[in-house]
Amino acid sequence: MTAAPALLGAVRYEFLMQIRRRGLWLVMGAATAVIATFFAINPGGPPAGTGPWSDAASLLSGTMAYFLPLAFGVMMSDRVPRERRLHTTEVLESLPTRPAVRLWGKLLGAGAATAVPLAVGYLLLIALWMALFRGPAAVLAAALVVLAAVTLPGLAFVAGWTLLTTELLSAAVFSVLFVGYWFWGNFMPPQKMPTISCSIVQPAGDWAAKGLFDTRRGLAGDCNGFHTLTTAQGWLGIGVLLAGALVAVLAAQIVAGLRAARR
Amino acid sequence: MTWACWRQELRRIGWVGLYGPLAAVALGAVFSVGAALLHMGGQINGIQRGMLDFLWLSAGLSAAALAGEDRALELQLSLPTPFRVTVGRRLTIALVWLAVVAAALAGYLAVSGRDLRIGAWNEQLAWLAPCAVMAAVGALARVILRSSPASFGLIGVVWIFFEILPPSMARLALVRPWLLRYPIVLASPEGWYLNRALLVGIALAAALGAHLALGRPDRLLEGDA
Repeated sequence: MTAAPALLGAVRYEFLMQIRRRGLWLVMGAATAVIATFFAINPGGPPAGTGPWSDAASLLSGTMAYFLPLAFGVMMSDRVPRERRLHTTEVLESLPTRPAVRLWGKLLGAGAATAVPLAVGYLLLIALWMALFRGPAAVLAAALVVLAAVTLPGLAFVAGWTLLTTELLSAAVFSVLFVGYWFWGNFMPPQKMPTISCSIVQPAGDWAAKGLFDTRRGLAGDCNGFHTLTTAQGWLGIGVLLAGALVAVLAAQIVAGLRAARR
Repeated sequence: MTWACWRQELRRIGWVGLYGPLAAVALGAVFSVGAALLHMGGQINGIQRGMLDFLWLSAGLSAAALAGEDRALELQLSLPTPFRVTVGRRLTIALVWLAVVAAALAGYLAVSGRDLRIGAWNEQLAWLAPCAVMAAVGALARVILRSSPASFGLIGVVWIFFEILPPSMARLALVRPWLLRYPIVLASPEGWYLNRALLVGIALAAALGAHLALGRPDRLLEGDA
C-alpha cells in the first residue's frame, strides 16, 4: 500500500474516532464557559468595542489560548498509549502501513478533530462579543486570521510534543506534567521564576500576537514592558513553534520505529 | 484478607498517586535553586509557598486517574466487594500519602519562616480544603465523564482558572466565597472559615456523587473511545 491512501485512511479514522468523544466536547465546552465567565465577571469588562478589530480578536484569542490548548493537549494524550493499552499495536504492525504513517494520521486526524470544538468555542465567544458590542463582520474575519496566526501554531506544537511524550510516558503521567508545564510555561512571569513564559517557545503564541498584531494579551504572565517585538519576530515565533512541532513528530516517528523494530 | 486488599491497592495507585506529590515538591526545589542561581533569591519564598498549589493539582489529577481505573473492570464488578469500596481504598491510600507530603511541606514552610504567618491550624487548612475539593471533583469528573483525559482536562482548566484569577476578579462577592486561595484576615477570620467550610462541603457533595455513580456498573462499563 502506498503511503498516501494509508495516510488518508488513518487521518479519517482518527478524526472520526476523536470527534465523536463526548468528553472532548464537554471539556472544551467547560473551558469555553470558563473564558466566558472571565469576561462576564471581570470588572474591567470585555475588550471595548472600539479600536482595531484585531485587538478584540487577539485579546479573546489570547485568553482562549491560555485554557483551550491545555484541554487540547490532554485530550490528545491517550491516542498513542491507547494502542498499547488495548494491545492492538502488534496487529497494526502486521499491516503494510508503516508506524510513521499512523503517527501522522494521529497528528492530522485527531489534532484536527480536537481543534474543531476549540474553534467552535472560539467562534461562539467572538459571536457573543459581536452581539454585545454590535461589532461588524470585520471582527469575525480578524478572529479567523488571529486563530490561524496565533492559536494554530501553538496547537501544532502541543500536538507534536504530546505524541512524542506519550510514546515514552503513560497518558496520566503526561497529563500531570503537561498541566504543570502549561502553567509554568505560559503564566509564570519571568520576573518571578525561571520560565519559558514570554520567550519564543511559549506555546500560547505571545510572540505572534505581539509581533503581528501589537496587542496586549492574556491574563497573567505579563510580558508587557518585558520586551517589544517586531513583525519579523512575530513570524519567527510562528516558525519556531511549527519547527518545534515538526521536530517532535519526527522524533516520535523515530521512537515508534525503534519500538516496532524491537518487537 | 483486608490487609492484603490494602496492600494490593497500594500497588495500584501508580506513578501519578505515588510520585505526583513528590514531583510538586521536587519542582519547587529545582525552581528555588534556579532562582538562586539567576539572582532571583527574593522570589524563593513565593516559589516554595507555591508548591502547595501544585499539591492541590496533584490531588485532583490523582483522584481523576484512580477513580474508575481498572483494566479488569468486568471481573472486578463480579466480586463480592463493591467496586466503590476498592476505589475508596485506592483513593484513601493516594490521598493520605498526599496529605502526609502536604503536612510535611506546610511544617517545613513554618519552620523555615516561609509560611503565611496565619497560625499552625490555618496553615494546614490552607492546603487541606483545596486538596479535598480538587480530589473529590477529580473523582466525580472521572466517574461521570468515564474518560481519564477529559477529567484531567477539566481539573487542569479549573486549577488554572483559580491560579490566574486576577485580584480585581477575586474580590468580587460572586467569586470570593469559592476561592481556593482565600485571603485570610487574622483580625476577623470568619470569611476564611466560611470559605473553608464551603470548600469542604463541595468536596463532600462531590465525593457523595462519585460514591453513588460508582455503584452503577452499567455506567462504569460504558468506557470512552
